[in-house]
Amino acid sequence: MTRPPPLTPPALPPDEADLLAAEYALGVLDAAARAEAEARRAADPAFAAAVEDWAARLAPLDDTTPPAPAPDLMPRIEARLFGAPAPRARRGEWRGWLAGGLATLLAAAAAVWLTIEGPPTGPVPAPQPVARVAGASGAVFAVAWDRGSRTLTAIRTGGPAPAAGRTHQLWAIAPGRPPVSVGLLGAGGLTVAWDDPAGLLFAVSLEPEGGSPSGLPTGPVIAAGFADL
Amino acid sequence: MTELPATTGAARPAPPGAGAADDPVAQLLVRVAAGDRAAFRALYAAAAPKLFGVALRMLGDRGEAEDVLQDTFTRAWTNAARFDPAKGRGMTWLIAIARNRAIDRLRTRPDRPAAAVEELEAVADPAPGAEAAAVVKGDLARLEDCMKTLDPARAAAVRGAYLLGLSYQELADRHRVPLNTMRTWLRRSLIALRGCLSP
Repeated sequence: MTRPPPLTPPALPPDEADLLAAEYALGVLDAAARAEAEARRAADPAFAAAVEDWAARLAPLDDTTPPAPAPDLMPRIEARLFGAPAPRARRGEWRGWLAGGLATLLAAAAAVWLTIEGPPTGPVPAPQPVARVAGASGAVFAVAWDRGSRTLTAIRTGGPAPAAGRTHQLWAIAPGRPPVSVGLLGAGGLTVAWDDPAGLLFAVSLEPEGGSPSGLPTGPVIAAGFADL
Repeated sequence: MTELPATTGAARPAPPGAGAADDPVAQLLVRVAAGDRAAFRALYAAAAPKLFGVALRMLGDRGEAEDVLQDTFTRAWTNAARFDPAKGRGMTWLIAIARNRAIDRLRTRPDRPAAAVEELEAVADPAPGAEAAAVVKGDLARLEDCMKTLDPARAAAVRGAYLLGLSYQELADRHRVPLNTMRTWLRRSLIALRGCLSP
């Protein structure tokens, strides 16, 4: 009969703790010992780190396990997590988005490009700025790129936060190509690995929470700007 | 807010090289942590086959392996903010979740008899070709070199534990030794591996 694990597991000598972390990572513990190790993991960051170290030591053993064709369980997973799978928009809708909203916005953006806006509402990224992505409604986003780490950062610096249930999504558009999602602009901004932003048009659209369900823009463009590199 | 993205919730700043082009799964996990559902779907496409392979290896049953696959991705969505690309590869993080889910299942049922374990081991042992191909990669080569310093029966016990999720009791039955002997064997083997692998 198993007993429930203690809320704060008693302290162990360091060698014992490390071996317990090893046994847990290896998988040999019985159900009761596993539950206790999991309680330790939640309560003790040093123990949690030891478990991660052991998992990393043993992980190469998985290298020889072949991948197996997996059924598409995403509809089930999404239904459990979100209540219903996200609707998928039709492909090609982005062309209308590009032709209509974006063109209008770029025409307007040219006019706002040189205006001095108020102080930023968020931190301005430290690496080299490459694009000021702006819109007629006062939405402004700063996009910066660090050449050394090849990391792109973006953050809203002006204009309102997205309404509840919506999010801002950043897209990169190469000439003649469909928009590629850079990512979602949460309150803390966005940071991604990015090889080269030269020549790209950046645009921000208003999407449902969680981002465009289709992988292409579905909502209105609220800001756009060219990379200046 | 006066700092760049914090460590919970929204996407974190990636340290130079971390989550970089050589670890697309890590990049996807960082986006999943920001709530990006398209990235979550891309993560499934990228990682599900390997994770399904791991689950099949441990459970030997498609239905159970599918349940573990579903649990793994559900947890990945909920806990993605805990993944730190600076600390390891995305796939390693996901496989650890899958293995834990599989072992939890195995521990809710009676131990597998030694004969059944023997059959599982025969399937899990990599074919010479597969192993040779994988050993080209540095990490597996290092670990295999260290495994070779162990007594072969103990190395087999370590492998059986890791690859099949065998419990101490199952290993003791399989190798026909008392439980405490198996505990001592494995603890000493783990200590030896730790020493061998330390830089």
